[in-house]
Amino acid sequence: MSGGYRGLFYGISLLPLLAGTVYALAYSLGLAGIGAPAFTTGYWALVLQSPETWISLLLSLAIALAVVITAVPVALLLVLNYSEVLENPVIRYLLFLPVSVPPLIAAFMGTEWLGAGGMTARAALVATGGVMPSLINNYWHAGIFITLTFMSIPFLTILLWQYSRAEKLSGLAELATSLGATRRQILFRVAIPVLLNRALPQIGLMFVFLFGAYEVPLLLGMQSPRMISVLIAHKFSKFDLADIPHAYALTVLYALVVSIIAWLVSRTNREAA
Amino acid sequence: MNINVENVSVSRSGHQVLNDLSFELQDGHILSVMGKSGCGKTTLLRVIAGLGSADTGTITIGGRDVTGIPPQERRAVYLYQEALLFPHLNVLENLAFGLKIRGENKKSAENKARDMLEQLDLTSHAHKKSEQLSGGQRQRVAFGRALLVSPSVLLLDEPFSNLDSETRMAMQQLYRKMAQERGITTIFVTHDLKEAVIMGSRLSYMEEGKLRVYDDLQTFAADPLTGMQREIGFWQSFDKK
Amino acid sequence: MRKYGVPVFIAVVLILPFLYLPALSVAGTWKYPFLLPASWSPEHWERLFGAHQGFVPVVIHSVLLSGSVALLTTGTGFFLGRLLSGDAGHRQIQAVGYLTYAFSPVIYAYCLQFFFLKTGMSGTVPGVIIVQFLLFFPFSVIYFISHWGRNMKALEELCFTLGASRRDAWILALLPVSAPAIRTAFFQIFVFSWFDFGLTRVIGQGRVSTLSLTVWQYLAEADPHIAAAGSCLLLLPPAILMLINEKNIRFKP
Repeated sequence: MSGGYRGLFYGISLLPLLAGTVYALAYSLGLAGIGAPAFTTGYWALVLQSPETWISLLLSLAIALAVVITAVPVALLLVLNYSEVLENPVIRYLLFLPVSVPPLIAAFMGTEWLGAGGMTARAALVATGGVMPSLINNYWHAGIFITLTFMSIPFLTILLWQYSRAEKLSGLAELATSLGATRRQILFRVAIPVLLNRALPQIGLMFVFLFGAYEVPLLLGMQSPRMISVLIAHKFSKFDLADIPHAYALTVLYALVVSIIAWLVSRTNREAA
Repeated sequence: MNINVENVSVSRSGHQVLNDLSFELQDGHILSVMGKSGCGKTTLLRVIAGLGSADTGTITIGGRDVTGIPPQERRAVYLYQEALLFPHLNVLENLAFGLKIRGENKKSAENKARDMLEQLDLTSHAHKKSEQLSGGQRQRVAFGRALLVSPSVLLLDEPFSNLDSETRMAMQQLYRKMAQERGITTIFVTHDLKEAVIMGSRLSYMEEGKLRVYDDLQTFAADPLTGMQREIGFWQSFDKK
Repeated sequence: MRKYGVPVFIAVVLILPFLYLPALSVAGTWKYPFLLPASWSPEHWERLFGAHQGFVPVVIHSVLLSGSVALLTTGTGFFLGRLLSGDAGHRQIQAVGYLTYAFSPVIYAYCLQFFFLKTGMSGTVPGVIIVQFLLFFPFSVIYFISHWGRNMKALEELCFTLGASRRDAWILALLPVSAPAIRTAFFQIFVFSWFDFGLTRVIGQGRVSTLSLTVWQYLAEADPHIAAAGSCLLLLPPAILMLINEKNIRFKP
C-alpha cells in the first residue's frame, strides 16, 4: 500500500521533470519540435564547443561558491559570537527580515543601491568626494555577488542559530572546556564542525539555488557572460527558432549538473524525514 | 475483567516476537512483566490493546473474544512511557477527553474531571497546558484520563521510567491505590525489579517471545532469570562490609 | 551594550533597503547625488491604485492564485505525508524532494512549457496553478512526513484506546494538533507562490497577471517609484509571516 503512495509521490514530483528533460533532450537531438530535421548531434556539438556555454556554467558555479564562502563565515560569526544577542526577538526579527525579500525585489534594490547613481555611490560621494563605479552590469559581477550574499546571510544565520540550539552547542562547549579545550579548540574542533556538519545539506541546497539564480543576474548582470538560468531563458525568448534546440541542450546540461549536486546533497543528509 | 491470552504468535520482518504465548490474569490483578529490551513486552501490550495484530491466537477480555475487534471497542487503554497529553487541550480538557468522545455531556464530563483532579492533587493546574507541567504531573493526568473512561484493562508500558525516584514512588502508590479501589485489571511492563515487585500482584518474565508467569514471589525470586537473587546478593554484600 | 554592536550594525545594513523602498515610493524628485528626496509625494501610490492601472484586480488575483496553490499543495501534502510517514524509503523521498526543490523555477517552466502548450493550459490561471503545485508539492509532502512522526501516531492510537472512532480522533485530536503545521505550510507555500516570477512568466505567457510580474513590468519601464510602491505590497505578507513564524522559513533565491 505504501509502495503505491510512494509511486504517487514520485509520479507527481519526478514525472513532469523527467518528461520535460526527455523532451528537451529529444528537441536538442532534432527528434522533436517544429520542422525537426532528423536525429542530429549538431546542436549539442555547437553548445558543447561554444565558450559561452562553459563560461556561463563556470560563472554560475563561481558566483554560487563565492557567495557560500562569504556568507557561511559571516553567519557563523554572528551565531557563535552573538548567540545571546540573537535571543532578543527584536534583533532577530530585524536580522531575519531580509529572508522575506523575494529575489525580484532584492535585484531591484541592487539596481538602486549598487548602480553608478545608486545610494551607495551617493553616500561615497558625500563621504569621500570620490565617484564610485557601478557595481552592477560590471565585469566582476559584483552586484550579483553582493545582492546574493546579502540574501544568503540572514537565512544561514537563522539556520545555524536553530541548529546551535538543537545541538545544545553551549553544553558541548562547556563539556569541551571541562576536558581541557581552549577557546580556539572549541571553536574549530567543536562548534564549527558540529554546525557545518548539521547544516551541510541545507548549504548544499542553497548552493544549487544560487547556481540557478534568475532574477538577480537578470537585472544586475551583464549581457555577456550570463549566468546559466538567464542564458537559457534568453535563448528560449529569442525569435530565431534555431536558438531553441541550443536552449534545450543547455537545459539538459543544467538538469544534469543540478541532479548531480542534489544527489551529493542527499548523501550528506544523515537525517531521514 | 480477566484477561486470557491463548497461543498468540507475532512475527515481524522474519523475527518471531511473540512465540505461542499464553497466560491468564484474573480480574483486578496487576501483572508485572519484566524482560530484556526488545523481548516483545511492548508488542504484547499493543496486541492486547488492538494496536497491532497477532498472526495466530486469541485474546479474551472478561470472557469476550476481542481478537480482531478494533481498539475503540476493547476498553483496554494503553499508556505510553511518555505521558501523551493533547497539546491543544488544558489539563481539565485532557481529563475529560475520553468522557466527551463517549457522548457524556460537557457539564457532567467536566464535573467528573474536576473530581479526578482533586484525587490526583492537581486542582490548581486545571487550566494549564501540558508543557507547563512536570513529568510526574503529566503522568498523573494521563492516568486520570485513562481511569475516567472506566477501562476493563489498563496496559502500562514503563510509565514511570522517566521519573525521578521520589516521584516514581509516589506514582506507584497512587496507581496501586486507584487500581485497587476500582478493581482494574492491569498489565504493567517495567525494567525495574523493585517496581515489579511493588506493583504486581502477579509476576512474570518474558524471554524469547514466551511469558513465564510465576505462582508467587518465592518462585519468582528463585528463578535466576529474573535477577532477584543477584540483587539480594548485592545488598547482602553491603551488610557484610 | 558592546555585544550588540556588530549584530545591530548588520541588522541596520540589512534593514536600510526596507526603509528605502517606502521612501522611494513616496519620493517626489530624488536626483543624484542627493541622499534624501527633494520632495515627498503620494502621486506614485495614486498612480498605482488609479483605475487605468488595474492594480487592485492584480493584487486580488495574486492573492486568489497564491491562496489556491497553497490550499491545493498543503492539502495534498498533508494527506500524502501521512500516508508516507510510515514508509521506510524516507531517504529516497527526501532525495527526490531535494532535486525538485533545487531546480530553478524558470528552467522548470521551460522544461514543461511544451506540455502546457499542447494541452492548452499555457497562458491560463489553472495552468499556472498546476505548474506551481507541481513545483511546491515535494516540499509540502516532505514537510508533512516529518510532522506525521511517531508522536502523532501515538496520539492517534491513544485516542483509539480511549474509545474514539477514527472520525473523532481526527476531529478532536489530529486536526487540532496539526493546525500549527498546516498553517505554517500554507503560509510558506503562499509566500513561494506570491513571490514567483520566472515560472509564472513562462507558463503564464504574459496573460496571467500577478503582483510580481506587475512589479517587473514597472522595472522594465524604468519607473522605479511605482515599482517601489508595488514592491512594498509584495513584501507585506511575508514580513507579517516572518513576525509570526520565523522558525519555519525556507530559502529560495
